[in-house]
Amino acid sequence: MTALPNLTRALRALLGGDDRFGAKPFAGLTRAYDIACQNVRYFYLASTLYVWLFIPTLHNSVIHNPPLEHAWPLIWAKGLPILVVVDVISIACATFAALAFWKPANVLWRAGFSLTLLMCAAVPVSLGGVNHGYHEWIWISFILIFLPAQSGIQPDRAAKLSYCLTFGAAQGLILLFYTMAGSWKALYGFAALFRGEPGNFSPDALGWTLADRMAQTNTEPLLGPFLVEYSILAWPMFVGLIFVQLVAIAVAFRPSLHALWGWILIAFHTGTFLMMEIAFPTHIAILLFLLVASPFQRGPMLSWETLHHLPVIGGIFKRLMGSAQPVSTPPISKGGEAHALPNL
Amino acid sequence: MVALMPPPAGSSETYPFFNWSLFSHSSDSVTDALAIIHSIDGKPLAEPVSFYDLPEEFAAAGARDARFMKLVDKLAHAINTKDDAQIQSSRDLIEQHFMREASSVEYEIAIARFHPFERYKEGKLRSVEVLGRYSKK
Repeated sequence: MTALPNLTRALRALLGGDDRFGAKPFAGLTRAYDIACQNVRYFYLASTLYVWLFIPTLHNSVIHNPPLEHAWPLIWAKGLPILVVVDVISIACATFAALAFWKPANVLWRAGFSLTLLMCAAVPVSLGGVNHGYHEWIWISFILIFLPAQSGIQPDRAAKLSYCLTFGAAQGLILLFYTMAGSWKALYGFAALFRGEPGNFSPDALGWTLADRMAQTNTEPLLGPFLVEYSILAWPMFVGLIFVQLVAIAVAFRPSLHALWGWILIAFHTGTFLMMEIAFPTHIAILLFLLVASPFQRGPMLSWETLHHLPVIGGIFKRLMGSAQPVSTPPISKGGEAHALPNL
Repeated sequence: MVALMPPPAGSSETYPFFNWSLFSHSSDSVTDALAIIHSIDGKPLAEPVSFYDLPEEFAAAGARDARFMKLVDKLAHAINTKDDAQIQSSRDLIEQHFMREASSVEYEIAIARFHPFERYKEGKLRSVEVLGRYSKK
């Protein structure tokens, strides 16, 4: 009978370390709720802008009436003029995003945006290949459908908790995606080590990936040729990336690391552009809303205590710095430390 | 869980579920499916080149549209599994959409094996196995 609580306790310790939400997990709830509300509105504002900028690309992709392999969200459009379909769903998507920005409490606008975004992103899928730049956007929009209906109108404590829980679920899902990406790299890396073959932990690993990509797509990214020539310089960067991605899910449960991981992951996406010309603008915006401006951020982004909270290696820093006591985490600050975006 | 399950036959994933395996495997020996172009509008090229080496001829090559390489992967898989319906569907997209600027194109779908540094620096492929030769007319 005690197995389940023990397992739960062990999982909490593994994921949260010393930086758990503590004995007063709901301290500062109103402030966290206010910041989460702001960030949700910023999400829909950015969505409006992004979808409007994306409309010409979608339009042009089907202007020559290509033979589509209809992805399932667009099955209903078989036999219809595809240019009309694409224009209608993309303008509807941008409109729903604008309406959700205007009235984020209205579930109809949020659900409409999520559904039409799913269809818009299915257009490139129907043209032969998935564009993974939209996946996070789709899933965040889906989770935000479940925000409590009464939010914004003198919400009670339960509504605030529900709102923060939904926002936290969005953070957790995005960080899980990064952990999945890191897990594959670690898995293939350890498998190659086990077989005694060159792989992800080899000094040239990132250099091989960059050279393969540049030769494959005939590109010359700003840093690509340099890092192929001196690929040993990229080695610590690649091993560090695998660590950052692999442990990302634990960061969801360590609020003092939210902003730091947000910036690190933004630096990673900036790096993929400089090294491979692969841009993920939606991911960067999502990291800003969810992590850099996290409503749950505790204390300053960078401090000695933050090092103690690092997954896996935090204990090493603690020993090196001679602190045997668990680190106390301050409640969510009432000042400017939570990196709130300005009021809308 | 859905993202980690095998996708439907002929698909690389179950949209919008994704297992997030992106650039997961680095090695000094890479195998990749290529579309090798031999002639455009009836004029043979000086030497056969990859689709992406023709940015002046094809807008998708100029834009480094990654969907093309995913489509070539899908076509190579369909050839290997003798999936005639998928072969035709992928060819339709390749020829009518990605190669729409040319009225006729002779091309091969091939599996190339190479060292990434050798291919990038010298253009050298260690082996090329042609899976099929097609023409857009």
